[in-house]
Amino acid sequence: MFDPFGLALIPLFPALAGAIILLFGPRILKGQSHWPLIAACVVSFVLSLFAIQSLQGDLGIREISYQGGHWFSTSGPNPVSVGWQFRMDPISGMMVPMVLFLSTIIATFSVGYMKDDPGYSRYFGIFALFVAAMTLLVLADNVLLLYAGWEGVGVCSFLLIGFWFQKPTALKAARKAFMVTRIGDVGLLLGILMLWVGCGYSLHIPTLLVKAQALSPEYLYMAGFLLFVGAMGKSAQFPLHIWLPDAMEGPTPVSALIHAATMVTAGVYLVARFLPFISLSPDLLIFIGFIGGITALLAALIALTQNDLKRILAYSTISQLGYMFMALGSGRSDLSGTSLVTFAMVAAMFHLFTHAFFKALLFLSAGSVMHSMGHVVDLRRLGGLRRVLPLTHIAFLSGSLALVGLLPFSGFWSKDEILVALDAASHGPNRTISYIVLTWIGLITAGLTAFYTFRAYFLVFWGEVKIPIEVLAHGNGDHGHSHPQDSYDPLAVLSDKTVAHESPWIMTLPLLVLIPFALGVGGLFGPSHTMFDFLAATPGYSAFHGDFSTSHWVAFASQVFGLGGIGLAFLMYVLHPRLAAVTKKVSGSVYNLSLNRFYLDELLTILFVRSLQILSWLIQALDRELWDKLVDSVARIPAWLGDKFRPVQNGLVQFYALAMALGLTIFLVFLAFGDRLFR
Amino acid sequence: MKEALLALIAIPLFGALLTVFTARHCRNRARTIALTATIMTLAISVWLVAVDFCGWGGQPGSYAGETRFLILGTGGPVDPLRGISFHIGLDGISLGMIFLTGFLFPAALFLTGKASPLNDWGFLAWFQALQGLTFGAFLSLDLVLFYLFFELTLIPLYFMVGGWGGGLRIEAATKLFLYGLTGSLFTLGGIVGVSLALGGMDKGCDFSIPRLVLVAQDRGKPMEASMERVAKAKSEMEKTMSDREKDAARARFDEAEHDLFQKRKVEAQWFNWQTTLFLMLMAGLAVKIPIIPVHFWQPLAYREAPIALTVVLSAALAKLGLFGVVRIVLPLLPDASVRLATPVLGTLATIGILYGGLAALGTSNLRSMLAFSSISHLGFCLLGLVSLNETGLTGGVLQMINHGITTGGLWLLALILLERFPSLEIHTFSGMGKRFKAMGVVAVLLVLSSVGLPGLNNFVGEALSLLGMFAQGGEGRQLAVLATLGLILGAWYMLNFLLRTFYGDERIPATVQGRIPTDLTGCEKMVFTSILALCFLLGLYPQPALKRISADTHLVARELGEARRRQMGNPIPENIGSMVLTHGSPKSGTNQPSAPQTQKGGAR
Repeated sequence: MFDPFGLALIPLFPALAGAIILLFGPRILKGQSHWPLIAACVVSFVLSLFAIQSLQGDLGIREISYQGGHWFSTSGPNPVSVGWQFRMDPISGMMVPMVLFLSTIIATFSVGYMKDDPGYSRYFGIFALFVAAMTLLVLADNVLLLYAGWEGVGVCSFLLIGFWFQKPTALKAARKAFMVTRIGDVGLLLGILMLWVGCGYSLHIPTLLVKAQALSPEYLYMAGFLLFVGAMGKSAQFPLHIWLPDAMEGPTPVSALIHAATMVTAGVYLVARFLPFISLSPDLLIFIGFIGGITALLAALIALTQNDLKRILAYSTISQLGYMFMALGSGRSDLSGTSLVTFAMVAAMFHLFTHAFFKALLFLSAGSVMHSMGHVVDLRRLGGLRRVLPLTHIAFLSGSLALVGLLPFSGFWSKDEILVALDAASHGPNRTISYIVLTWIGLITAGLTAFYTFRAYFLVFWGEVKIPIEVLAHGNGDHGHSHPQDSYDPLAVLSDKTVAHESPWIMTLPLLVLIPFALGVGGLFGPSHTMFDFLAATPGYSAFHGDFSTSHWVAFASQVFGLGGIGLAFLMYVLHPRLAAVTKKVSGSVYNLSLNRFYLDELLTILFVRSLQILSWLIQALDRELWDKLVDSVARIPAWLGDKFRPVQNGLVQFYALAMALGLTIFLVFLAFGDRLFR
Repeated sequence: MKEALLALIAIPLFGALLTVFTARHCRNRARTIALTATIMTLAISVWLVAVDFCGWGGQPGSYAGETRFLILGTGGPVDPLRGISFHIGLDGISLGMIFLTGFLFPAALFLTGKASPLNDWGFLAWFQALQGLTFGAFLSLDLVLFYLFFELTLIPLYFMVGGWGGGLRIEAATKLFLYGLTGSLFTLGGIVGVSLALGGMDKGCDFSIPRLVLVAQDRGKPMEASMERVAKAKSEMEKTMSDREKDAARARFDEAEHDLFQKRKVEAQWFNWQTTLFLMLMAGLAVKIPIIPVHFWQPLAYREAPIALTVVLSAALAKLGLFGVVRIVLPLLPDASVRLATPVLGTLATIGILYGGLAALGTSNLRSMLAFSSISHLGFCLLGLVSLNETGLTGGVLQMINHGITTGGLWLLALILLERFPSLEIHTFSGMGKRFKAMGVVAVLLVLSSVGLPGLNNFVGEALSLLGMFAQGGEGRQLAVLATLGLILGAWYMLNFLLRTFYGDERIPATVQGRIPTDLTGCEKMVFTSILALCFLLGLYPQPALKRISADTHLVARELGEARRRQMGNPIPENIGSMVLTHGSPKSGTNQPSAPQTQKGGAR
């Protein structure tokens, strides 16, 4: 049997590792700073495997929970109680080992990637704290504890995006990421406040799930909406998606772990966690579905024309996250006969699972490319690398195939479930059209995904060999600014094997380990329904029995779209490269719209940032120059009054006598006739 | 315990005298005396905290280490405790404030360099005097004594700002003094009014806070008894059968109703009185906190005051106002608090949170930014306090401590920057993190604490304050929603400061007197390590502190809860209720023979 206390240890080990690395790293550990992190990740990973082992047993145990002491609490009529409460059920049971496995792999990769960086120990220290916060987020059994993990991953992400803190672009990206996700965090906090008040002042997640079902529909809609706002911020959903592409300023392994595989999926996890009561509000579901759909389509359209390899992957992540929210949005409980809640949750979580592996692989391959190519990510300056970087090439191709979702590979199985869920939801009594639209958005996005992924793949790995000049200028580890220069001879560089070469084994080994996972996890768990049965047993979700024989067409359709996208990319970028230039010219403004990300960044900046800045300058100026001066003028009244009355005291006895006589007269008149005058 | 509390007030005052008489024009000796005295207070306050958490102090809900002697008796032999007395004691609410005062005064002095112009004997004497007075105000259990200490702090402040401040020091000092004085005069009126109303003039004025709190708590009881009588008479009247019995019952009912009506009338007047007193008491406290329409002295004073003074002004002295709210206003005027605290103070606090946040965003001077951010953060404390339930009150008091530690730390950071560089304009710095590594780490952690990262101290206080306010329902809920927007602004200006100063291309301004700027020195590391340790301790393990605070806030919250129940639940027949409501809009309350209007004839 697994001792529940082990759950508390899972985040504790990485946290301790982080503390050790940050305290002793710069002085003592130095170049060995990665060991505590890797050790902690492995130990926690093994612990988590033991934990899910006991979940899968025949004893019917579907959750393990550990209720530790108080973190903080108050009593009274509206008590707050936040304890060190951890719980593992199938949803978190799927997430935690995945997070820890990928953390281990990516930490190993980072050893090579970050070698000789001056901030080596800082990198691994924050990395370890991120792992701790992420596992805390997933395992938390209390919403405020979950919020703590939520904020924790956000801050680690902020610190790692701004890791090369002297790069002006990095600091802007870090601030943008923190601020935009902060908007979401405030939404989540308000959602938590609403749930706390609405559910009898409880913060315990299972209690909330039960009690929230009795809330009024409006209250439920509002609380669920606010939770979803939190998810939108963290998972980069439209219109809060603008921070994620900029977040690529961080080291690439960080992008792989935080901004592709784990942290950005926290929003999906959150909504999946609360789906049993969110699904009671059909309006909210369709809202979630459409936000997901818009995001998926928009991000895919933007990715079509981008020239930065990492940004393409970032938009692809945004798009895939949109997919997951579309899946969650299909979790209708108002269908005749069957409820889709469980199926929608499983579809979203399964895609989250497969996506984590193949997107991590894609990012790590991109990192390997950057590492070998002097940190150049511009597609226009790379080419034909499959001969220079054979291992990286295979890794990138595997990741791309899985992402596109061709038949035997991971992406197919999970994407298919999402499309099936959307199609099934469209057979409901109402809102048919909405869900049909969403299904088609899913299919079109699948085609676009195939096109932009293979566009990047063909441009980088096919065609004539292009190697940027930075390869010569940069050794490993210098991550300064790049200076675009095009006057060089690629073949000269190629011939010098010591300059352009495959990454060291410590980086390629993690890639090789990841390839089978990225390609195979979908096929391993999908068709055999292992993952489905595992996840569907989550407490709080009703058992699911459904027949989707009518929905098989979406699988074929997605294959057609996928192959079409790949074929088009092959045609445009390998067979007839001039076709791409022609298309660019023909599409003109549409092309520019996509290239400039639909001007959303600029629009939102003007709408919110600039207007608030103007307001703040206004307030600052008014505070200093107007209000304060107004108060000062009140303070001048006594002096002014004194000034006016001072001449009265002029020292002339005649004047005093006159004033006295007048005053006396008025007084006497008042005494004599006062009651008559003022009656 | 008793001696320790007396020593807290006496040592700094004695140190100030010693400085004046033995260390004139001798900078080194003055500094030694000042450091010794303040560090002794630090040792005592740490000891007090340790003693308290080990459970050797007083019982929860009572005062520890009480000292009490009468200065001006008014009760004669009948009631020898009545009157103005020197009465001090420690409880869970003041413990944190004592710690802040004991910690930040020596820290500010310690980090001020030997060469600083602030090592003048005059400044140091005033500084120590200020510490003694602040301790006195936090420990006072007598209204007049509190007022005395509260008001006397203005004198050292005036001389320190006016004598050792920046370019606009005269304007800053004058404003600080006049704002403080004007507000406090109202507060004095309020204190006399409260004492007359609750203590009763017939027995002589009473100023003891614990005794007045008991009176305020018991005021509701006769009224409730009266309500019960009416209810009983009514049920009797409906039950009885024969005509004669019915008439008698009706007579009893009428009598009871009449009695209640009279009591309600008195209550209506008392309630109006409470409203006036509430506003008067708040006037002085509001200036000190400061809350929004009376804050104009604050940004100027924080910017122009000598930086060591700004540290304690923001971290310790700003808490005097909030402390007054939870120590005096809420427990002594529960009915008015229930009625007015959330709509009036809560609204002002929320406006302050947003206004302060926006104004902090609009400035590029570190001192102005921290000044406005203080307004914003203190808004959260106030929001917690005026939510009037145990959760919010406890969170508010905890947040007062947290704000003292974090903002105190940020001001100390400004202090050590000012030791190195001539100006604190944020745009003159850039990319300091490369050469100033330790300082960068301190800055990052303090900023993260300030923006409310869970695991660091501010999160717990802010969360509890917001939860408490949200649980209020109605307008409280709207205020809490608006206040959370302040969290976004808070993150924004704090990150602006952090990223502009420590991130980016390296650009470090010319130093004071052309010295080569250094990273943190050993002393500075020691102080900041202890501040960060406190941040983590209160963030990860706040439960003991919360328990200690809630032992006392629990009592306040219970009293306020009863007052609220009296106002909400109205078991009186409709006609009487509405008749009374036309009189002066009290919904309920108590009648006490000592209500001011009825007792004028009885005064001796």
